[in-house]
Amino acid sequence: MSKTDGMTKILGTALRIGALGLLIYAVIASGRFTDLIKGPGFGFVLLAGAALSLTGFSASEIVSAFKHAGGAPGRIADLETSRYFWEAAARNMYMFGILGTSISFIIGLGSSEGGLGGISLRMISALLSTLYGMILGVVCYVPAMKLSGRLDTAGGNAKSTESAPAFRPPDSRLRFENVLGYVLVLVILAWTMASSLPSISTDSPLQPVEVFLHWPSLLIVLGGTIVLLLFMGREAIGRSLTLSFAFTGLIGSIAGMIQTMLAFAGRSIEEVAASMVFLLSCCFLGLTGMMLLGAPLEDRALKYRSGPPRVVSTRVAWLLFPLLTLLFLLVTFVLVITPMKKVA
Amino acid sequence: MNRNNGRKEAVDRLLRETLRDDLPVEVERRMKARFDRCRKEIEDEHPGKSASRTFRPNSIRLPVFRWLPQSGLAAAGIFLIILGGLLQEGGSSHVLAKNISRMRTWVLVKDQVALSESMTCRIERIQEGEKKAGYVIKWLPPDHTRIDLIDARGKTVRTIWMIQGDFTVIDHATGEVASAVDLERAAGPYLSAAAGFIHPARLAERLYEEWLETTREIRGECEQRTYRLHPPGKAEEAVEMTVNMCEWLPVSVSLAVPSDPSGAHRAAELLLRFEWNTPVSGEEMLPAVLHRRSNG
Repeated sequence: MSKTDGMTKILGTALRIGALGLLIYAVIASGRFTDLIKGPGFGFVLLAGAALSLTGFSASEIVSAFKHAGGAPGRIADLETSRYFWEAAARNMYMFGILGTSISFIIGLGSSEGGLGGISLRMISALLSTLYGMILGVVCYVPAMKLSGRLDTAGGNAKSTESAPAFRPPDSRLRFENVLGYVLVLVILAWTMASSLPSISTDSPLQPVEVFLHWPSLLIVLGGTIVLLLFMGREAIGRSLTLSFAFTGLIGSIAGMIQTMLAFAGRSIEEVAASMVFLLSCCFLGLTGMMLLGAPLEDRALKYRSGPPRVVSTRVAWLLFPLLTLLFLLVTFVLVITPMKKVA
Repeated sequence: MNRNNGRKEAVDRLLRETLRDDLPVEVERRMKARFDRCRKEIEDEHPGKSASRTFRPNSIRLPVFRWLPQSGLAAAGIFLIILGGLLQEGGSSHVLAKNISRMRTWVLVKDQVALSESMTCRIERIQEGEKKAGYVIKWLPPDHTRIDLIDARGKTVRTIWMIQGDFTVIDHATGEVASAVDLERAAGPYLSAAAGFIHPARLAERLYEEWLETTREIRGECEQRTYRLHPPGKAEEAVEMTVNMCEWLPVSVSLAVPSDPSGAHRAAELLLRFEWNTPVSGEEMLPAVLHRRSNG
């Protein structure tokens, strides 16, 4: 690439970023979308998603992924890793969007500040995190698609200078940036949970532990994950962890939903409330386990694999379990505000 | 005999001959040496990894699996599941469950109040432990309210009809009929203090306030729970509402009437007792004059 071409490319990228920035500024300044703007929610999804990407990739791989996304040349194996990085980043943003919604939803229910109107408003605005997660997920998925196109071309192009992908074993080394990623994710999660509760509860401050820790669901999700891990074998631990958390979270939440329906039929408010909490907590723990334990290990195991067909089962789990969580949250919200009909 | 089967036997024999596991020693040795060389190359390329691990695709093993016995882990997992199930079935209390339960109560009470066919509210003014004058309020949909002012001896001294915003007042001592412009002038300050509860629509609005459960008790077959309600951020304006959990309707409301504007001193306590969906005659909901007029 000549120097002029490089300059033109940089200028083009800068212009595109500038145009996008201007568009975003115009949208914010118009004031028409103020209901859709929630700074802390956006910050949570962006920062936590970025921090989770650090747990599965080395600093050099991340830098290369940005360069490759900008059009820099590279070996096919490195392009494959970069594509996987962007896919993982998209998944992280999407997952953290729904996890953010789940956290906000639980916080919304955790305080009676503002009465029924206040709680309803908090529960509805909790959905904004999902919106941000989806937007950021799409933004991160664009480079992955772009790199897929390049890989397809490079695969069939004899003139390509890139060498054929060599076999590379899974990356089981824990680097400094991986540890930093774990620490950052935990700090962001803890800070979000701890800081949100006192701000909405002035009269009786709630402790994050008592709101987010629900022993029955924690024990069931943890126990179920251990048993499923043993059944699945010890080989692909990242994949097994992801699937185990997804399955136990799903089974727990479906059990909670059935219990809620039964309690609804029996018109018992206490039972409805207890089963709803079980349902919410199973979804939250399943998602958190998949992201904090499953995702980093899976990323380190899969990032060097070549070729498009990745592990389908975990991809389905990554996509479907958060969607089901979102569905369960919405159903819970509807059930909370729906009156039970009196039996004549 | 089936000819096809005979042909298959021939193929089987050929395959058995071809794939015999009896490679010459030299060939087997060279094959093994080639495999070993390949493993060594990979181990040299990725130091710190054993070839057996390297050849296993997508595998990262957690040390915990090496340290703990599989049977112990399985037993621990099953124990955790059973314990969790027992805790859930045992109805362990949780702060979120309490809040959801409270929210459901608000929703149900509001719904039942909105669906009510009639309401009777008896207001007692209690001052220094002694019952003073009070009111009996009757409401029929859509917007008919009758308020009887009762003196300390239990005699009705005045009746006010509120029909679509118009006030008609009858003084029973003098028999005078008059119209009034506002409730406070017609019925006195104590009723206006309870004005937020004397109409189902106003009562439903108050249900959006913050609730805090204070007591529970079983009365007859039904549980009654008392909640402390106050507007958001105004705990000093709290009232206590008791709700029948079978009917999901308010049973009583207790509120203090301040004697000074700052609200520091309580002059009296108002106790509102509700009866819902009891028969109310349409005649008593119209002023006698209007009633006579409507009958021609």
